[in-house]
Amino acid sequence: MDAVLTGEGISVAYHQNIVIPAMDVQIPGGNMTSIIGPNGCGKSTLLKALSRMTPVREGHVFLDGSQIAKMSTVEVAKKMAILPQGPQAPGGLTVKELVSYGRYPHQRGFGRLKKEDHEAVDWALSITDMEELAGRDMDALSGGQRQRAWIAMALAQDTPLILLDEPTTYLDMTHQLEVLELLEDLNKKQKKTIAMVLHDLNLAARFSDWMIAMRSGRVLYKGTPEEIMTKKTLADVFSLDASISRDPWTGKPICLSYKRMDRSVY
Amino acid sequence: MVTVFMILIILLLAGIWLEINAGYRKISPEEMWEILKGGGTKSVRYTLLNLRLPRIFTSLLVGMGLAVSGCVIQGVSRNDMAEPGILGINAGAGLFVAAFLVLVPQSSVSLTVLLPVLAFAGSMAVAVLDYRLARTGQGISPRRLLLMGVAVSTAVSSVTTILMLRLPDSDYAFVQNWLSGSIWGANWQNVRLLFVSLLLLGLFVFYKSRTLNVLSLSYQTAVGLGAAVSRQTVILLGAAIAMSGLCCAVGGGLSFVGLVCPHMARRLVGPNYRILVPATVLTGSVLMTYADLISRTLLSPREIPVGIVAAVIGAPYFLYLLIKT
Repeated sequence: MDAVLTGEGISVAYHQNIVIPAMDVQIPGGNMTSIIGPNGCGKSTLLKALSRMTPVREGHVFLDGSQIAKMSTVEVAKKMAILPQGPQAPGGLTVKELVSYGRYPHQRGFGRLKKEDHEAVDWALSITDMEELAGRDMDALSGGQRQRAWIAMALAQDTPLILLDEPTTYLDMTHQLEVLELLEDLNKKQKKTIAMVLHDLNLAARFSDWMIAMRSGRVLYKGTPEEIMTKKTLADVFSLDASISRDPWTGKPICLSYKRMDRSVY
Repeated sequence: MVTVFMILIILLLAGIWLEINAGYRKISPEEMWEILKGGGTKSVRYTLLNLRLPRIFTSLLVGMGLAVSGCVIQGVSRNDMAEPGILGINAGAGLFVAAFLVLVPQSSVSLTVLLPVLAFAGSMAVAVLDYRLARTGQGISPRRLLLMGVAVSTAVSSVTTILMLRLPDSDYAFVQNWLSGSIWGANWQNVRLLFVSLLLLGLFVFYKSRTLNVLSLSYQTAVGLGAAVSRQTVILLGAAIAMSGLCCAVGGGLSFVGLVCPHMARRLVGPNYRILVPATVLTGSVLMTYADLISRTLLSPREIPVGIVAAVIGAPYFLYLLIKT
């Protein structure tokens, strides 16, 4: 599988603090990829660097083979949508208005919505099952609905690649599943490439085709969930002693229980 | 939505009519029609065309410009507390005016022409200073700009106060009045200048409304959607500062209008800039028209600084909107 988004020797630093030193990374096209790792390992920073939110100090990011720094930002926005962590909408904004903002890179001039814009917005609302809530205020939505609205905005942007930074934060188990199943549908049925930072290992293993495991600003392991969800990997990445089993329903590897390396369970 | 706009327009027209009739000489609709057709007695013509109408249009335009300016600054900085005054636009104008009166005590030159120019130059000088101080290697952060603005504004105001202590009483009162916001120098020349420049800047802001929408989400979302955030921020702030500088030049240090009118509009029509900008034009001009009306009539023939009136009538309504929604 060809990579649609690659970082070649990228390093990222905040002031004097080097968060990512010279990293090579590939996001494979057509897949669902999860980036995992402990807090502060630089996974969100990596996502920001790949999406031009944060400048890279060295190295280059390539999107579809073109160097991202040399592309116009509108051109990038037509190929790659980004959902940051915990996005905020101004008070009083309706779902439909927010979703229509996703058409920004396709619009010109005063920004009156054209026929294809309306079609894209309606399509995004229907795929995310938000049609009935289209007229609601964003403030009046539950956490899960709000996240679906933001995903709908990214969909209206009509890009083959979508990056998400912890799309399931602050959601309960059911709504975490709902969001990830929506992303899975987008990947399988709409052929979107999806890359996201995820905290929950078992959900990452269940929904991803490819996993990237980071620690201290480096990619320690990458591979299929089968390859990543091993005792050794989790020990190296999270310093966890994990008991790995198999999900009886999905057949995917799961982490059944875990403890910190230097402690007993009791 | 349409109702909100209709009500605001009716309020505005009613306010204009009341203002036309505010004063010693009342003007009936028939008389007004006569005058507009070119008739009427000389004295009434003079009262309406040379005194009242320029004054009405000046206050209306000032309100509109400050409101739209505040609306842009709040959106770009994603800060509800932001307004042109926070950047030191008024303070800069005040400093230049006070400094001029100290340095050139004998007003040999016509103040009506010179003062707006001085005030505008002061506003722009402070804006440029803010920008230079706030700029870093990564471009301009609106948050940093606001903080710099607060600091610069405070420093500049202090210098103005020191200068004012050296002024004779009448000049002191003049500057004090000016700093509180009062429409003066209301003549057709200023109205024309203000109208054309605010119209152009206002249309530009309206043209940029979809960018303002995207910028008001968050930095990361705006970048992700393909907005050239740094460049657009500078351009839009520049337009907003120019608008408020022009308004400050003829309206003095009106701070409350730029803060509150965008919020009023937002509560009435929501945060979508395509609708919000026109609504802000109306809330700004309505508030200033009525504030000017009251400032001229309440203690007639003395005038209360219109900035103070705007705050007195705007604050309760603003509080009501905040509590209600």
